[in-house]
Amino acid sequence: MGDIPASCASCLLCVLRDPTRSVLRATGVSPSTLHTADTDNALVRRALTNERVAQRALYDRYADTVYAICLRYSPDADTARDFAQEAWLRAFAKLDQYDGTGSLEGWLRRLTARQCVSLLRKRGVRTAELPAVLPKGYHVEPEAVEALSAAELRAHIAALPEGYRLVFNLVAVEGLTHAEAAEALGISASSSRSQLTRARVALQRRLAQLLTVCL
Amino acid sequence: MTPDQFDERVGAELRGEAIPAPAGLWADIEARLPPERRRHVAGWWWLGGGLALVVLFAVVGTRWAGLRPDGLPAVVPPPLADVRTARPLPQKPATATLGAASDRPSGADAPAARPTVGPFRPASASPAVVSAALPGATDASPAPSAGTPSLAVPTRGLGQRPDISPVARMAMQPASALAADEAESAPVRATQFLPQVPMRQLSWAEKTPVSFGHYPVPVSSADRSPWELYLSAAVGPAQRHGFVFADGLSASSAAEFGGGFSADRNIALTAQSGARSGDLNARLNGANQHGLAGALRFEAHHRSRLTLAATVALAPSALTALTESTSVAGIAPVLTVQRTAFYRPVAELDLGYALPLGRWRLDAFAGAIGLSPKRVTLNAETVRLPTQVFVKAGLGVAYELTPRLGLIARGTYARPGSRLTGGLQYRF
Repeated sequence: MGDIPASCASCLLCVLRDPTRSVLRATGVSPSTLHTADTDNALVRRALTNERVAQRALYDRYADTVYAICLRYSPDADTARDFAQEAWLRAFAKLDQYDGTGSLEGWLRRLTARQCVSLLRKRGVRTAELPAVLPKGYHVEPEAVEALSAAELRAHIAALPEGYRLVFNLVAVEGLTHAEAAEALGISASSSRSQLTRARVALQRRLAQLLTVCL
Repeated sequence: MTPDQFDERVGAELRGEAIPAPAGLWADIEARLPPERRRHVAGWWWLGGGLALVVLFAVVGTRWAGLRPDGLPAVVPPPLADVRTARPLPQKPATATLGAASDRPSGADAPAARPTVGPFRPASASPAVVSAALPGATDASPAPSAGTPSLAVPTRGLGQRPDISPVARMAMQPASALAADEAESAPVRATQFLPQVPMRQLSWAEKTPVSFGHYPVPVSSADRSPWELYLSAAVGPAQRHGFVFADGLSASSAAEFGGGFSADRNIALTAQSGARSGDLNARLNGANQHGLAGALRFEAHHRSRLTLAATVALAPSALTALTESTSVAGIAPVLTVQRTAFYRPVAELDLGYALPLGRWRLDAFAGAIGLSPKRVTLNAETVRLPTQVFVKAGLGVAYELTPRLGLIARGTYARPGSRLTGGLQYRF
């Protein structure tokens, strides 16, 4: 992300307005920090008119977050790239539905997660309901979770069965309700609850095994 | 750790995760985005501007050509009503004497030092009569014609008005005074207000809720070039002014242009269209002989944004100093009060100073404005825009190439949106 937004790369005005911009550009500071003067709502207003500069500014601001979400739902990086592309296109197309009251990041996160699930379903992901036989839970200390990096946690979640992984990501990570997750996945809310429970137990088991090995 | 706590800890860990997006992703996205709407200059903008120019030159052209519609020379007495409204003058007999004084001897014994001139007739303004009455009057400027004797008046610098004393003005336009039957003093207006001046002060209307001064507010500055071509022209001698102007912006082929006409140097009506902002401006500028200047402006923007603004300047020199036009030395404030669709009435205060230095002129100004927003409906939701304060300051320099042609350059720092302005000014 060392590249500079097109608006700033060719804009002498920006450099004159803020001489430190040149230094930032030279030092490779993330360009998202260069648009702090524009609020999300202001950028959204401009992006609504299909103004490319504003769309690019929004992308620069949230591209990393969106891509991280896509990685959680995708089996590999190439698929995540495709998902991110589709998510951004959908975000720009649906930007008029953003009401400006909540955070744009939260709106983008939910939209991206739903878009990923939708794409996965189109690719034939198995979200069938499972028998309601709850496995035994495992006790995991809070410190064990905190000791793991986000990348390690993401790797463990990625190793879960696909249905588990989707429900866990939607509900536990993105904060969707079970009704919302069920709607996105095309299952019932009760199935969403049971799959979340299974996903949690499976993840705890993996983490417990990991800690046992480590100890 | 309960299940909910476990979910929350894992979720919190992952929600804050940001992974650099792969390079080239934006290019792929951009390739699939609908094409950006091109800002094009709509035909009716050009048509409106063209009509304005046609009207302008149709009105001014006859005077510019040195002829009135009735074939008489151009520099002839202004309408009687115009002269009398400019300044209440004492009632005198129908016959007046050029240079007459109250204690002048009269009758047959009076020395015939100066010729007595009767009521105005076109022939009475002939060079022979005037040169006899006023030594030096044969040095005509502009080019003398049968009915346009005038005195050469030294210019004081780029875009500055000549220092015209009442006596000199009378010498330049003896017919005016004579036709008005006012021989003792010529009808001189204290304020020679150039009508294009407030126009520039108020002309900017960006794609934003507010428009004022030179602020490209609030967020549209990133996509525009800092280079602006500014052309300004004022045409029309004597009592009437017409003017055209054009702004060219290189970033998106935008253009603003318009024209106006002033039946009187103190009142000007202008119309302007801006292709960039999709706005249509109309304004009434005025100044009185006591040094007060003002402007009323109405702007209609696309997306139903309306702006009504009023400007008052304590001295016309302030406006001129701030707007790259004719300048008179001195400090003067400009106060603008405006009401917009998104913001409550706000006041803008500018302070300007112009310093003539021979052929050079230095301009400096600073100003500030605070915007207190109203709640507005945006995307079917009522939101409150943030309160904003903008400041600006600038330095400019002008150089007089010839008495009529000058170069102007200025830099303006504004938050947000600075700009460099270069221009060419020609005074007809």
